[in-house]
Amino acid sequence: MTINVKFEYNTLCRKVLCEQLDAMGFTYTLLGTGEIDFKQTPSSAQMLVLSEKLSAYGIEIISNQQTALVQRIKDAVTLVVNGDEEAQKYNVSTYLSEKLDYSYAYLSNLFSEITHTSIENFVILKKIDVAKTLIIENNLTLTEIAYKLNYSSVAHLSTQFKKTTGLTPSSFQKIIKKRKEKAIDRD
Amino acid sequence: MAKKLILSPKLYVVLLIIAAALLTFIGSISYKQISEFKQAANSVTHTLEVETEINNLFAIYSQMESAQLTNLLRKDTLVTSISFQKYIDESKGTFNRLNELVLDKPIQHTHLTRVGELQNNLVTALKAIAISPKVRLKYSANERNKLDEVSHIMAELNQRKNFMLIKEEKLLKERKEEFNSYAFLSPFMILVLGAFAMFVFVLSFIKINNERKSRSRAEAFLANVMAKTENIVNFYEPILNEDGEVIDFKLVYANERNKIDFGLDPEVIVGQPISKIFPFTVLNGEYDVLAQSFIDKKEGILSRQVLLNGKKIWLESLIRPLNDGLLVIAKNTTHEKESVAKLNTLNLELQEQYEEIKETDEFLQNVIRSTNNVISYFEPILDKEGTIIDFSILYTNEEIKNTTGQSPDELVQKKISEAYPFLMENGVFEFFVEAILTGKPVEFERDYIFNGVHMWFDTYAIKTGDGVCVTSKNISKQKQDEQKILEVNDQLKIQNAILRDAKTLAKIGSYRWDILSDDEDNSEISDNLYSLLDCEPQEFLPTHENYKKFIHPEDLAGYKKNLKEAIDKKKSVDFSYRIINKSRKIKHFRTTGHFQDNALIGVIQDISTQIKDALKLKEKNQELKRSNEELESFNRVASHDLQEPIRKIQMFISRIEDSDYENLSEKGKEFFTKISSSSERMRMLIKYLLSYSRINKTKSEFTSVSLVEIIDKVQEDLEARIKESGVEIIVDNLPTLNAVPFQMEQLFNNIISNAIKYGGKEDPKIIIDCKKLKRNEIPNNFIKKHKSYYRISIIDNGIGFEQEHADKIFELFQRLHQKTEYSGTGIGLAICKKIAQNHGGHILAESALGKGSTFCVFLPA
Amino acid sequence: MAFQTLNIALADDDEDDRLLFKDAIEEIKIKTKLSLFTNGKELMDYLVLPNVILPEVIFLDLNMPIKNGMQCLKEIRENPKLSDLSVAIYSTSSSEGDIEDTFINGANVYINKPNSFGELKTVIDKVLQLNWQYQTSALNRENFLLRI
Repeated sequence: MTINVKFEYNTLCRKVLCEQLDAMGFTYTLLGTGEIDFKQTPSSAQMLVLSEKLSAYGIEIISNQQTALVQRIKDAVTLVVNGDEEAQKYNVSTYLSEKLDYSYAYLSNLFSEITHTSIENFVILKKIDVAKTLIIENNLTLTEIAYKLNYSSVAHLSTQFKKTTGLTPSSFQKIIKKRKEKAIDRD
Repeated sequence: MAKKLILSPKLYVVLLIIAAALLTFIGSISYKQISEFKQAANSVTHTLEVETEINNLFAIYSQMESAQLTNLLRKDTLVTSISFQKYIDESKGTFNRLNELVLDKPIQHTHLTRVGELQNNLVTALKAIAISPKVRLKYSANERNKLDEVSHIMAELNQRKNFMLIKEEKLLKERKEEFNSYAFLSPFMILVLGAFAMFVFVLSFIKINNERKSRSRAEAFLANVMAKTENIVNFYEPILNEDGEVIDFKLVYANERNKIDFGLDPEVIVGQPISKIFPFTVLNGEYDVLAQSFIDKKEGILSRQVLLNGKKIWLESLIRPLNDGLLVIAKNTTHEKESVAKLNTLNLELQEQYEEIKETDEFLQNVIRSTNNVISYFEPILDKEGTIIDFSILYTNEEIKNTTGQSPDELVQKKISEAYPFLMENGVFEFFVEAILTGKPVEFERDYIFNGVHMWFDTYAIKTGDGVCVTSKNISKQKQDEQKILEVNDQLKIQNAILRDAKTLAKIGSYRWDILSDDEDNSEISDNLYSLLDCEPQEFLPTHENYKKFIHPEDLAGYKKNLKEAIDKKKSVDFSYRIINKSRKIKHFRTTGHFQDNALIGVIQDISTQIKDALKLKEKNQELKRSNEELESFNRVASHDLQEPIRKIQMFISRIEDSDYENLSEKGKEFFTKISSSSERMRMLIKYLLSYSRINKTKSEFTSVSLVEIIDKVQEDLEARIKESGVEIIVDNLPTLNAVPFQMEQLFNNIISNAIKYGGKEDPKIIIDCKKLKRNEIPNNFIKKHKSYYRISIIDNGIGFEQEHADKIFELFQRLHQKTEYSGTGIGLAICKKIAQNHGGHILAESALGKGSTFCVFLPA
Repeated sequence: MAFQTLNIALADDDEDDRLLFKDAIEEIKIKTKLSLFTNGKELMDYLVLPNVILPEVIFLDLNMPIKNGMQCLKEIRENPKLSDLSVAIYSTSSSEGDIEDTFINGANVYINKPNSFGELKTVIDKVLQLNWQYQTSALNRENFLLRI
């Protein structure tokens, strides 16, 4: 049998982080954007142990500020894509530079360097990722999805979907559906 | 005049009374007159008698005196006395007679009485003379006295005689006057009154005669009525006993009806007592009713059933006292009673029938309404000679609409010559006439053409009322079936004929083997079976044991096993095996048969050829399979193995291009470019060939496809080229149809890219539009299995082509242009055609050089 | 961390293709360590070795002797240890049926072997980039499908 679950990464991560940090007896504050503020700076030995423990959960300690910033850009993009009202008011570049207090050019360069892709591409990827989830859920029509994701038309969404995935939304849906059926058959 | 007289019967009565009165009057007057005349005549006679007697008497007196005196003178006394005595007697007689005559006349009587006295005196006187001497010359005084006295008496007698005569004379005169006065009045009166009376009587006679005549007529009528009446009319008179009580009635009149109702002859029964004739009258107090009616003079009514002469008769009698009897009018109501009873049953039956008819009527109405038959009613139209020249349609049911397309309302009241003119020519009209004239139903079959459809009808016409009721059944289907059956029959005949030969040709022999009985005396096999075994007929005993000897030793066990199984289960047999015939050749035989009693009966067929054929077929099939597999593996090769080398060639070309191209000589560069383009072309060819060969492999992938989405997708795919060429694509309403999605995509992709490729240089445009057409609206010749098709037109304003090439362009590797002018493989449109065909559709192109082209794709709707 | 080396595996029976792939991957920016296998069996034998460093992306040719790409794919998806790996099919076949089948059986990427070297580089780069995004960003890996 197969069941589908949906999980909240943030909650999951926070819970795991809290458990591990508590276990090691740190005094800390969790900041929203994936930052941990320690009261006392942990020793390098402590950091090593923590790094090892967290990596078991797929959590990495980002070593430097730049990667942290990239993470914050990604979080901001996620907010924009998920339809945060405040984020919707601005275009992505303005929103990011205002929110992160860096020039967009700097952010863009940094992002490309670290992730091998541009912020724009990431936004598209993120949007298409949401679109995929919505298509699979099959509650909304393509028109509704296009509207929800701020596309000017279905055609625009379809084109971008095809460009990004090499598949049309419908063949994507078909494949996922068959894949699930196959998984059920196998069990 | 007769009329006037007849006018008032009362007048006659008055006139008759008057006439009768007149006649009485006349009669009495006449009688009186006659008696007056008689009296008068008597009086006259009397007077004359009296006068005569008077004269006689006085004559006698005179003779007496004279005789006495003469004697005296002759003195002859003796003679004198004798004659004198004679005169005295005579006078006495006359005097008496006269006295009788004048008895009623006092005056005369008085005179006569005096005359009598005088007579006596005279006689005395004369006698006295006679005693004196006889003749004397001188008479003494005495003697003289005596003579004087005689003279004196004589004088007085004469005086008296005169008196009396005068008196009589006076009487006669009076009588004459009186008579005359009567005579003067009567003749006139009698004449007038007699004439009047005569007139009245004549009138009355005529009248009476007339009345008598009419009365006799009435009597005759009455008699007739009596005779003909349905009522028994009898008249009874009572029979009384000594005490004057009514004890019975006697039949005094009986009409003829008695004979009919009672079987009693009136002439026989009249005069007989009713208790004898009608015994039933003494029963049930009937007699009392009769008697009571007679006594009370009141009418009575009897209504009862009586038994007479063994017959039960219902009688209703009206008894009416009439004169001194009873008039009995009886009516035989047996029939009526029976009729009433019958009528009641009849009524009930009628009621039931009515209900039935009502139901039947409703049912019929429904039937007529719902029937598939055309039902009509035609009324004949006659010419002056009474010949039927036409019919008018009075009724026709709704079914006619399904036949001729006309509604009943349009047809009713029309003549059939107007509504169905063809009926006048194909003999149907004559059938209707025949049905009318003979009154017998007529049935016939005819074919008609309505609205271009050839139909057969079985028509049944029957005279109903004055017209003809016509029921027509559409038997087109039966006819067709009949036709088919006839054809089948023909085929069967042929087959039968063939079968006769077929037995030999098909190599079939029949057998009957008494497998289950101990001896096989009744076994037999057909000559043909002998020949199948390559033996002469009857060459061996036709037993199963003998036949088994021919079976191939390898197959004998199986044969026996099959047969045993069939025997055990009593099922029919059907199995094949090999035999070795007399000329040592192996044949394949098939035995079929079934058990009947102890015998297995059936046929044996030489199936050697079939087996051979089947083997051949199997081989062919395997061959086909192989060839299919080969084709598939070719596809595999094409899709993978052919693509691999060309891909690698291109890959290395690109590597050289990237790194070492610049190091090549100019010629090398040129060749290199040619290699590059040739390899690209080859790759394209392989790709298209592949998709072409894949088309019919995907039959199962038909699904509902929206052409709108397909065209959108195609436009997306061709986005770059559309932008590059600047072509405007206008898409009309497109349908959703059952198709293989990616083939549709490929189809339209090819056509649209074609249109873009060969598009106009200026303001290029592509119009895609769709229209749904019925099968028969499509002129183009392709196999149309579906009722309707979508025609999807892709119209461009490009360079076009000559119409004569319109078919060529859909053929594999056919190109109209130089490779250098337009890139292409010559496969694209062939793929389109194959896709269209794969979908049960068609594709065609219309164009003229430089005028753009139109590609039409027909796909089943 | 950002510049860590990506482990990549390619199973292809064609020597030329392996060579070209190797050349192409060396020319792209992302740092990679490529393991090459000449058939499916070799690959699978390697993957189930203990203490093996699992590749981030496996490129699988479909048409291979001994064990073909599809079999490998199925084995990978059925093995819990390997099921999270990204699998890219690398094949000449452009048959829709093949493409759909591999996706349904759990392939993340389907690559039609390109005709030019440049194209090959682009394709590999794109796959690696995208895979990187799926590994590092909060994207739903379940929905990782790409056809090039």
